[in-house]
Amino acid sequence: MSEAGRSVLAAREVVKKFSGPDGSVIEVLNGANLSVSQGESLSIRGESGSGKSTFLNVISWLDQPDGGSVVWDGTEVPRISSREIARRRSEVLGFVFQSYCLMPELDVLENVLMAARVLGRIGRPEKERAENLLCQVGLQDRLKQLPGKLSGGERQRVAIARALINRPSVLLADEPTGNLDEKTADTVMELLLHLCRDETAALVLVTHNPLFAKRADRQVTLSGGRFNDQ
Amino acid sequence: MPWSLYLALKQLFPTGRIFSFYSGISIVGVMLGVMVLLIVQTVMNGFGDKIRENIVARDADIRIVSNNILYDWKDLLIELEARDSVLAATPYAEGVVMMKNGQVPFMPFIRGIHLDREAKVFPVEGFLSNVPLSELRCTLDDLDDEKIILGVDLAASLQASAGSVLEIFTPLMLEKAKQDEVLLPRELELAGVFQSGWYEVDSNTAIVTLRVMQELYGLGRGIHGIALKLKDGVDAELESRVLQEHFDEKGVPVRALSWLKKNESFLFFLNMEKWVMFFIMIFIVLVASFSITVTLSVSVLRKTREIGLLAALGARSGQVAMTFCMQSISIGVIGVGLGIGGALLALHYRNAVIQALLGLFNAQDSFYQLYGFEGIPVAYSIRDFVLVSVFTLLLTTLAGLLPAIRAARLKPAEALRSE
Ligand SMILES: Nc1ncnc2c1ncn2[C@@H]1O[C@H](COP(=O)(O)OP(=O)(O)OP(=O)(O)O)[C@@H](O)[C@H]1O
Ligand SMILES: [Mg+2]
Repeated sequence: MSEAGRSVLAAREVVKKFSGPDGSVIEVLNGANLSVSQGESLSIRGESGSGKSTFLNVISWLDQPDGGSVVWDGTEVPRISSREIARRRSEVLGFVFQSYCLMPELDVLENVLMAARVLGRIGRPEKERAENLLCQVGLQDRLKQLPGKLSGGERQRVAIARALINRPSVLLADEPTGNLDEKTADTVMELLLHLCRDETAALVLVTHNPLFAKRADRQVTLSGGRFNDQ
Repeated sequence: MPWSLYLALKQLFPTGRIFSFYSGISIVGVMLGVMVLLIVQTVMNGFGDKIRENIVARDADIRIVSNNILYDWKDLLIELEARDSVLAATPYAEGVVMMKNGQVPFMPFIRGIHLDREAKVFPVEGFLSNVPLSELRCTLDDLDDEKIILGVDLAASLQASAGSVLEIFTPLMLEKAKQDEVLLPRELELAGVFQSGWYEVDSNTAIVTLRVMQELYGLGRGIHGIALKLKDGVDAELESRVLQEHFDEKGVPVRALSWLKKNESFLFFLNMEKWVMFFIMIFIVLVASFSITVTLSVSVLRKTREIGLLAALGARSGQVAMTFCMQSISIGVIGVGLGIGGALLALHYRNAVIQALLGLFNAQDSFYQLYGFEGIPVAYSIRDFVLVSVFTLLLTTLAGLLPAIRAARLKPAEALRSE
């Protein structure tokens, strides 16, 4: 299943360096290669500080790599204009963060719709899709609630709905269950995997939890700035 | 609606709340600034108009004056009166004399008037009827070549009462005295008093017939000038220029002075005062704008991670900047709107407010005596309203620029990483 589909997201020989506080150069990514096929789920593990978040930033072009290339849906990212990058990013990628990142002024439905708004798509179909997604994450009764009044698990479910509204090819999740207790984490993880499968979105899941990692179709480990397939 | 505006409005007016505390404070700041500016400007305009009205009421629209005595004035008078713009014209002579009632001397301003024409140009009849009913109340008919009318305060200073005979000495008599002639004053009987309501006039002006004034000043048949009243709607300043051109062409050595020209420096200071007030008050808006800058800068800091999220959702940095610009613009627009509303409300109920305040200090009487009119005058000027609004909107927009630029320059990856 994993090798069969076409690649929707790929990193080739990606290098990313940071300058440390004492002026020394920290090479976080050092020729990392990774390809994600359509609809597959992939988990990334690695020690803290191994560069998992950095990799997600680079592969979503929120941070430019110092070497190598990133390919979205068959297009090399540096080849397109910055204006185009912003638009394509929101079409190709969806994000779920450890710290939910909901806007406190917007209610649940508005938060989900915000991702569509940025693309200039805000109409009946988007609203219906948002309501539908929120229904699937079990928040159909909370549409008008502000995030401040939701539990952590509920907030993360809103974030998942938001990440999926634009029908991305890939969903990037950076420790989505990091702030949740075990039971809630399990529900959220189940939802995430389930929804991605339903939406045929690929999932790139960064997690410390080996049990969650094993639920993915494929598992890789980041160490020494490279991926080791397992 | 562009999403940047949507998000800006949501941050100002979050779902389920009327407005956020921080933006509320900024809006109130702008509102107060606009309100104070508009109230002050409108009241200043009102005072200005009132003072102008007063000047117009006691002064002629245009005076035709000469450096010398005007002898051939009858033709000029007829010619002026025949003009389409002129309602009435009256000759006059005026100067300073010394006046004695018994042992009390005074040096008032004296004005010789044409009995049939004066009332058509100056509101002298009103001044006479202002006087409370008493022996000193009179009409112009009571004035003749043996009589004099005094300003009510001048009469009081001279301790003159009805029938008092006043001795008048003139500069001409001094000339005669130098030639060792006997110095005999001209004696005039007090016919009555007038009350214009302006102390500086009432305490220092006497009225006699033109003939008496010609005699006192040795003018023969000459006069000092002709005062004109213009028809309604005729611009005094413009008309004075037309007249001046006309006189210059014909070589008549006279000058046409409009009341504006005559009171130019006073009116200039009046206007100046208004603008100085404007520039002082604008600082309130300036301070309010700074508070917007501070509020939004803090907001950029608080929302760093959300700014990173916007980038992840596909926002360009220009659009992120726009959400903050839109916030300051919205604060400006709402503040200006509320400020205009508040100003109109306060101005509408100004007299009730002042009454209440004065009542608190028991100061009603002295206030109205000092200002000489009932209530606070206002004059609404669209120009001032537009100016204040545009200026405020400009400042508040600029106020959002700094935080907007800061937000735009945040690097998405670092913003998402922020705590
Ligand atoms: N902007 C930066 N400047 C300097 N160093 C950075 C910067 N961003 C990340 N790093 C460094 O890069 C390394 C990788 O960071 P990263 O956040 O990607 O690790 P991670 O694998 O996500 O760790 P964790 O599992 O704890 O989240 C760390 O050593 C970090 O200090
Ligand atoms: Mg991380």
